[in-house]
Amino acid sequence: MKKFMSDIGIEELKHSLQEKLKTLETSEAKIIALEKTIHKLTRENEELQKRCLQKEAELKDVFENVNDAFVSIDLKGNVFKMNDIASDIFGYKYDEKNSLNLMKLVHPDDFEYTQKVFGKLVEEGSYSKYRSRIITKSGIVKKIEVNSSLLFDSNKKIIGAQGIVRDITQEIAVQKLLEAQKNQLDIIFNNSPIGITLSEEKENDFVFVNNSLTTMLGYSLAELKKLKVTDFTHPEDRKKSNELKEKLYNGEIDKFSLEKRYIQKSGNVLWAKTTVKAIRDEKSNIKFQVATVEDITENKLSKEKLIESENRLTSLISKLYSGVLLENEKREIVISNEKFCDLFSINIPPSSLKEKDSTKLFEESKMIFENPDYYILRIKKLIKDKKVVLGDELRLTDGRILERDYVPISKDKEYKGHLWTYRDVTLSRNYRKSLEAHKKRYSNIIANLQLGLVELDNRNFILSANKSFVKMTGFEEDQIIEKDIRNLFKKDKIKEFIQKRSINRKNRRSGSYEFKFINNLNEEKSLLVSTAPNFNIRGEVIGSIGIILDITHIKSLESQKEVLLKKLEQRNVELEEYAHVVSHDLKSPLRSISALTSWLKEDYGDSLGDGGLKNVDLIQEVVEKMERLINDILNYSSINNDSDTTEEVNTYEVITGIKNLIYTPKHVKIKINKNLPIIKANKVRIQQLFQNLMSNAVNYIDKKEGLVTVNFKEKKKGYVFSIKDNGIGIPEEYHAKIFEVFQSLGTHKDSTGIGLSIVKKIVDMYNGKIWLESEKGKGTTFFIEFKK
Amino acid sequence: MQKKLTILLIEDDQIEVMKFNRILSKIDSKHRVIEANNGEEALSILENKDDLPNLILLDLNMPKINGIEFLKILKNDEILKYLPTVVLTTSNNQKDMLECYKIGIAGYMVKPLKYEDYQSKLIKVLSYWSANELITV
Repeated sequence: MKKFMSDIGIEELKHSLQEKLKTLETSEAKIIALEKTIHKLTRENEELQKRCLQKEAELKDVFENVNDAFVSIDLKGNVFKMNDIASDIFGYKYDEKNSLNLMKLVHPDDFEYTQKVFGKLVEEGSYSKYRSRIITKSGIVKKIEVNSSLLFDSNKKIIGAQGIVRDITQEIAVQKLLEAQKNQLDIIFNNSPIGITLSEEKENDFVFVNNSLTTMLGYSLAELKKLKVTDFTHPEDRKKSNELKEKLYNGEIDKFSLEKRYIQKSGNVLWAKTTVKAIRDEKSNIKFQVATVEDITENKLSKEKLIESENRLTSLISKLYSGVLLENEKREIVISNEKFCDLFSINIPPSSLKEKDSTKLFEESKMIFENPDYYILRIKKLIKDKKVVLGDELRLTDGRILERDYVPISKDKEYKGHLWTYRDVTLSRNYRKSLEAHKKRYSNIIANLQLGLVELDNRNFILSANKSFVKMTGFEEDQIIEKDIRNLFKKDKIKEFIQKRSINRKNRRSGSYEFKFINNLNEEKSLLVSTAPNFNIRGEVIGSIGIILDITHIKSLESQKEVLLKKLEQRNVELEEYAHVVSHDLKSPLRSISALTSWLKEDYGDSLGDGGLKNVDLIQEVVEKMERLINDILNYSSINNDSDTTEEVNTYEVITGIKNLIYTPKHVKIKINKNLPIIKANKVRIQQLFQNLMSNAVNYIDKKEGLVTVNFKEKKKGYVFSIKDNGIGIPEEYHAKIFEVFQSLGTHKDSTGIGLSIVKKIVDMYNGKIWLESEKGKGTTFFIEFKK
Repeated sequence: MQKKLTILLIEDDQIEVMKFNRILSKIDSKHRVIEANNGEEALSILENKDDLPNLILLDLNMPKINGIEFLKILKNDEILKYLPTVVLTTSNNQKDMLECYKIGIAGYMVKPLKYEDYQSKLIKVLSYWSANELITV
């Protein structure tokens, strides 16, 4: 086995050695190639270094010649590179000898900000638009803007920062100036009292609307943008406005201006002067429209007022009661009115007198005056003097009297003309005359009046009195004038005094009273006096006026009436007494007859026989009838309105009571309406009334089955009662007669002929009505109407 | 048991007196009747205070002093005012009735016309009064 292994090992080693040798040979070749390459690279590197140096020199040139200021600093702010432009900005020249720290240049106010920015820069690697103020060497404050980034060394360690600096002092100043100018413009626009709009082609494309216009119209810009101008133009002005706009669009005009009305948002009308100008492009299409709107509402209103007041003045003058003529300094007529023409009998309207020569006019019309030449002279004098003269009296030939005023008119102390006014004073001049005539007429009336009239002063002295009053007093007129009225009616002469009414307690002069007195002729007079205070023009009480009515005659009639009434009353009482006495006196013998006949029957009945007894019975019957008659008459005469009292009477109860009280044969039925009303009357009288009627109804029934019905009907103002029977009936010719005393139709034994008279008297007493309907053989219905 | 009454009848009409007496005797009464033809006479009878009636029956319509005047005098007297007085009259005059009751009466009887009616009414009045307790004054 050893042998085998050694054999193989040698062969093996030989082979591997050869192999190694081969590899070495290739490596040697490679190294040679590498050396070549290194050489080549070294050469290339040298080349590059050369180029690099060249480039660096180039870059330095670029850096130094760059347009922007460039500066690099270390972390403390010390400059280690800075170009010339930067030097210019900072005002410091930088070189190795004079170190420069930029932080020292920063304006103290911006220092903190700067530090912060620096911190940010370190954190983020760059910072743009750092803006701050610096103070240059010459002490000028400059505003700079820096865009900066960090600087690293070859070990990537931060060594500082570099930045591009721009001096923006000018830029900001310009910007501020621009802003200021724009503000100024805005102020002008917005504070201009005139509304201004700028719109594009279309009318509602408002680009700009100033505050004045929005205030004027009340719409905001946003609201306006939604509207067309037509929308807020007054309907009456739309047409005119649109026509002009049309012309503007057509290119016929470049500008228009008109006075028109706008409708404000609030709905009010705004008068405005609007001017629209078109700004056209090169093709002369409208590019913009500028409109200015001026509020002239107040102008317009005051103008209208002026016109109105002018009109008013004109109409005032034309309707003036005085004639007016206004002349200028050249004596031409400026204005006159109808009254003037009327007074001067000029038959043309006052307007056509305008600008005419007044001297001519006066000359022509002078003949209407009593003294024409004086009239003309006077006018001349007045105009020459130029002084106000009022109330010249002019007499006209036709009897009229005019009053003339002359008023010169001057403006700024320069004579400008004069005003004539003429008044017709004929009436007032004649007033006193006519007043006196009137007074006389009324005096005559007053003097002959039946009423007494007397005028007193504040002392109660008689100022005047008419004939009637004088007559009442019994004095002569001159005896009472200027005398105290109280002397005419002295206390001992006054018999009665009744205050009728006092209108005002404070004003004792008003009132009326009635009194009886003995006058100077010893006649007794009753007077009704009414007094009222008398006032003067200023409303002060200057006395009183009395109106006196002689009521002596009326009074005597009144007292006569009273006496008569008293007598009558007494007579009535006496009569009633008398009736009672008479009835007693009449009844007494009847009673005696009754007693005596009874005794006759009792004591001597046997001897009288049948015939005799029958006669005695007849005597008694007659006596009874006689008594009933007396009672009825007494009843009838005692029905007297005065002595009765009224109460609430339930007629159903009363009539039911009567039904039970009166004798009713079995074949007669009485039906009573249960709803009979309650009336106001005297119960006894109502009982008397119905009892009489119901007894009559029952008594005169001739049928086998009798029926008496008591009913009623309610009316608006009263009740109508009815008592219906089916008895013998009453012929019509007796209908009126039956109510008279002693008129008995009946043959009934109880009939006295007074019953219905009593009924009638009671009905009359209550102002009621009674009537009947009857048919012979069928029955009778009595109706009684009572007021409620 | 009927009491025996002393009755003063004041009546001017003789037939009325006769009627009264006839009725009394008819009912067989024991009442004593004193008659007076008018008020004056009655007053003089009443002066005798020892023999005063128990009951006065008074007619109103009389000559001289009439019934109401008499009543007034009676009621103003310290002793006589105690005497019960019944009015007998033909008058049913409301005024008289009120006046009588006002002054003071013990009864008011209207005399009916018919004798028989009168008789029955009178008997009732008398029997009523004889059943009453009476005072002696």
